[in-house]
Amino acid sequence: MINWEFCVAFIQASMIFLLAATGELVNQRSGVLNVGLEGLMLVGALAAFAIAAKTGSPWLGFAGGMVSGGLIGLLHGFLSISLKADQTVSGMGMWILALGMTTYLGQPLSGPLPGDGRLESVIAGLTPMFFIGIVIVICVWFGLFRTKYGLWVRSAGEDPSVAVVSGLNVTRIRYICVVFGGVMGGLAGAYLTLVYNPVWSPNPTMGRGWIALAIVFFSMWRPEIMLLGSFLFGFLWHLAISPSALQFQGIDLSYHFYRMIPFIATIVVLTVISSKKISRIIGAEKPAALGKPYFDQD
Amino acid sequence: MLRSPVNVTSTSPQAIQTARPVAGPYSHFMDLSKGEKILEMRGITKIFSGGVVANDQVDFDIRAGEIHALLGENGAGKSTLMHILSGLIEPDEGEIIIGGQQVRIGSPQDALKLGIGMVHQHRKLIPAHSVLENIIIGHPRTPIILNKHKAKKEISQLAQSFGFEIDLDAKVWQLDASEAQVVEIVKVLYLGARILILDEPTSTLTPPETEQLMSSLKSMVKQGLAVVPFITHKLPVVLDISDRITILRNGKIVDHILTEKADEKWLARKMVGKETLFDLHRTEVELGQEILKVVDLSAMNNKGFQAVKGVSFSVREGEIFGIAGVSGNGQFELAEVLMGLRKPTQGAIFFQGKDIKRTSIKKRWSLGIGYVPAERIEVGSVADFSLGDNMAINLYFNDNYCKWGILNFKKIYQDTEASIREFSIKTPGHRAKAKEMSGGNLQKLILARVISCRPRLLIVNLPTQGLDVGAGEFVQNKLLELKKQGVAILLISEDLDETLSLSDSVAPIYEGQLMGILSRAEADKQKVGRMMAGMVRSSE
Amino acid sequence: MKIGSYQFGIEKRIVCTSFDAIKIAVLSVALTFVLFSFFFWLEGISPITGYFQMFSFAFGTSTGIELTIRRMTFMLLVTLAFIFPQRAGVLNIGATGQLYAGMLAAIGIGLWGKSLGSSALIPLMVAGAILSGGILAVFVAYLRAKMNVNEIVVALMLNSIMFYLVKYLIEGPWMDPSGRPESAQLVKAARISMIPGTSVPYSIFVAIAIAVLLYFVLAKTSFGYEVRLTGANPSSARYAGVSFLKIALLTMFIGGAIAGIAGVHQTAGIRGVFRIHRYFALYPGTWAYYGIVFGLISLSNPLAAIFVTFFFSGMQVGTQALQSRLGMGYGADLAFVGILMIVLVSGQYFYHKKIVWRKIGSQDRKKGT
Repeated sequence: MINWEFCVAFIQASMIFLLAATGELVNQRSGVLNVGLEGLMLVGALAAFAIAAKTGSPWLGFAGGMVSGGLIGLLHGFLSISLKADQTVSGMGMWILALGMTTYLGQPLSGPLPGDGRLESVIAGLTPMFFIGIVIVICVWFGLFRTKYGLWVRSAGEDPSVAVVSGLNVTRIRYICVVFGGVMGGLAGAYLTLVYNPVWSPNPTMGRGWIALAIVFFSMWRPEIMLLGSFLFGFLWHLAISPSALQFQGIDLSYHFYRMIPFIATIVVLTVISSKKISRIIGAEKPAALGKPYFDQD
Repeated sequence: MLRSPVNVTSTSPQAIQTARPVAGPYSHFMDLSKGEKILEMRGITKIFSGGVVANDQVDFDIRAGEIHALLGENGAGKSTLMHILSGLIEPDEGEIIIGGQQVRIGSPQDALKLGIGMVHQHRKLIPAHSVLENIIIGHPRTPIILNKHKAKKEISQLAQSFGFEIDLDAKVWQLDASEAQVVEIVKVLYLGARILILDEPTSTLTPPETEQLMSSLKSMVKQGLAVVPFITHKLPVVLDISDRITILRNGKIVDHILTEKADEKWLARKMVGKETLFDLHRTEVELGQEILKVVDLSAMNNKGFQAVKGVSFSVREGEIFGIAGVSGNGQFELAEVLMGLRKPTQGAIFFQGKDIKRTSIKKRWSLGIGYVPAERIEVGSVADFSLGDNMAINLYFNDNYCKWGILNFKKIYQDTEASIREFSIKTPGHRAKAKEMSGGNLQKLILARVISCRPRLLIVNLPTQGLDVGAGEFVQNKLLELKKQGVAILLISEDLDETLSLSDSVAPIYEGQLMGILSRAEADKQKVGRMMAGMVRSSE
Repeated sequence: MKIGSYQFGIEKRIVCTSFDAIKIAVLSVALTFVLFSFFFWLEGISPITGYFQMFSFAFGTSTGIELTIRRMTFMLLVTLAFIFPQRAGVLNIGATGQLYAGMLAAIGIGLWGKSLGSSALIPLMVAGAILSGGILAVFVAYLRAKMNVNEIVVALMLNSIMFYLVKYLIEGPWMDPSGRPESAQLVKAARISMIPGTSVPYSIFVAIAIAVLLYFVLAKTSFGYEVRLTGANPSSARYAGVSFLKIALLTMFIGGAIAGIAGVHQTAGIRGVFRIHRYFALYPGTWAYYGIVFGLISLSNPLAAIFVTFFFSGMQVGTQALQSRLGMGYGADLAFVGILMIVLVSGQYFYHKKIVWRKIGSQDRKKGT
């Protein structure tokens, strides 16, 4: 049955999507597509887990996750902004590298996180990260739409040549945003292995990064819709792993089919939102220069 | 925007002063009275990497309170000169003097600090942002947390002082061309420009909008700003608004005159140089049967607005039917509809008597319709393909080259070599890549390819735009040769001289409508020019 | 930039010939080898020993060569599955899901048609795999071309969905009677026979034949021309009367079908069962991503793909041999691919830029990549 426990559990699950999607939203708003979000999370997850296990401090673990995510973000920034590489392939490479590296490096760490590295919940089963996450989303919303810097970011994502003529440093703006995306991706990974499920096993993210990426696409690049999307998919994800919470009378489905729910839902929601009618109603705000490297005249 | 009549007398100079964001850098000419020289360019020379001399020892000056028009044909060097002034290009030689001091303008920001702002022909605005956001972006005094209320007040005050009315909350994509231009002008003024450079300000405007803009510009000048519009044609506009005119040709200053002493004829002669003598081999041929008949045809553009509105005409064997008009009046969409690249919303198209409205693109090629698109590089050719593979674009479905789905590349390459010789295309051979070709040679290749499909009807869009004189003449003579062979040709051109010298019939187009169809004898430059500006309609 | 007595700089490259492109690809691979040495360093193995062990096993022993060719069959097929749509400018990221679909069809038909002879069963399995892989790919392409849905996200979601479907079937209806979490064994009639005296299934010839066929189609046929035209310049293709929807659907169907055939090879050729590795994310579905990398290295040329996949399958077999011989951890082979992919994609920067250097004081300029 759906009770407070279930709600807490799905809210916790949502935070993974929310944190990762927030970073991705910002870097996409600045015009850089990072499809390696899953990879960022993996790296963050492993770094955080390893550091927390070694030092016994979850906060150091979080810091480590964020820094390592930021570094991967910086690498993606270098490839996509400075070298003007194909952002999709670069992101895919980042993910595959992260998957291989974390599997390889994480092997000796397999198993649960030692007790002293865990983060205890504070309010009604919710951890401090929940509140921090919500505050971050609100700050991102305010920053993007109410401040000068937000206007700069959005301009760099819409038309870098106009931004440059207006005196903005598009390269710097994009670098900052990509690193921010990396930090948030790392944070999401850290949250996953320190709070949500403090166990190390290969590929702990299990496709959550891809769903977070999809949430950004169908949020129409708006933080408030992204927040709702994250909760929706947190709910679906939690339902998928504990289907007993909802008793479907007379339907005896294997758990595998419940696991498919978030993925099927993603395709359905994305298809509906991408249709011209719906995107016109919502007022699609896809950054016009998303995924396109900016070539200054040379 | 531009909706309310301009009320110059009620404007207080304080309004600009208070709205002026940055004070200081340009204040040394703030108080200059009308007519005083505020900026001088001396001996400006710019040579581009290809060896093209865009500006050759150009002297130019700007005075407070006057409109100083810069006149010249395409490629005369106007844009280069103004881009140098607005910081987009750095000159190779020469100096710029403001208020007695030599300055270096390295970027548009530098230019703005000196009070120079440019309004580009291709809008430098972000469509997804609101008008307000577009205006305040990059403004040095914008606070970290945006104060939209205050900014709105400042901007609307500034705009009103020049008779502009803007909806600051509208998104830019919702605006039409003239409204977007007003936004750009206000943006540049808000950023502190005292010298306003306008690139082809009237090219996308309708005549009433043009008039509105002109009165706003005049009111700006009354308040001590300097305005430099640079314009390719539309001589009447120049004569109407400007105080002085400088004429540029081939990168050099040809002449310099006070507007009151100038007239249209004199200006035209100075711009063009000697009367252009086209070496065209035109032979009159008997017009044959009707090849293309278009009845009441309409179509949308990519934004979903009506671009072609109820067009009817017909083209006969051996006839060149010229459609004359400024770009963006529906010519492009018309050509696409005829070729099947765009669906008509109403009307009928008959080719040799048969309705082809639903015929596929390939079928139309096979029936004998050929199309030379205006975008040589983006559409007409594939940059990374060899010339031989480029040749196949319109041939690969042709039975002469394709059996059982297998292409006879040997034959295609042989024919490519033959075309290279026949059209004297300068290239090492069919293996060269299209991106290594000059515009003229590329156009020859595309024309050769389309002609090798043996079309009965040829649609050519801007066939000589951007070509050098030799290649342009070659293309024009080729069209005349086809005419002699009885091909029906639909010529779409912005170059009025070209249209008039080639066509048997001329149809000026304005906002998607043909303003009339004139025979070769009836069509004179002035009449057609007025019709394509939408001012007159033929009585037929 | 100055290094020693040389002056380095970056200049615009006007024309990038295919020779330049090959040079860049080879240098990228070399750089990857250098970067991958990091893993040897972690293991305390000298890179030279490491690479020597890798290559000597993969290309120097008969077991190694057989393993290499078995792996190459798979890799070549998934590479072709990526290359063909890529030539039309369509990204086939979902080879994993298409592979699973092909494997499921092969196993399903193989288990169902136990009593049929080999000559009927194998073609049925292949046909089933082609259809299921192709349809899965067409689904993505249709959503992309017609409804403008992001193809990467849809393809990856399908990968996950297919994964759980596979898991359901091999842990449920098709489970091995012994209770192991893998499918029941295919009967002999449903297995692809081996080249006599080796453990290499005949499917290698199918893979090479498909590569040659695709090369021929691209180079000589009007359909192939339409594909290349669409990939090189979609606006020109539209002008020439090519329908993007048609090309996207067809190329994706063919790509998906080839990935499906890879599934037949993997089940009926190699394993005889459908098993998911403990590190399920890494095997065999994730291998399909190698197709993207090898496709990039072979510059989307099907013939080049034959040689590229041979070399890199050997590399991969060698890395895995290292995992057992020298006790190297799992995941290193995947990390190698990731590095290679990143290096290759950054190498594309040099398609339009080149490094130039000259000795300080001398006038003549030398060009590099």
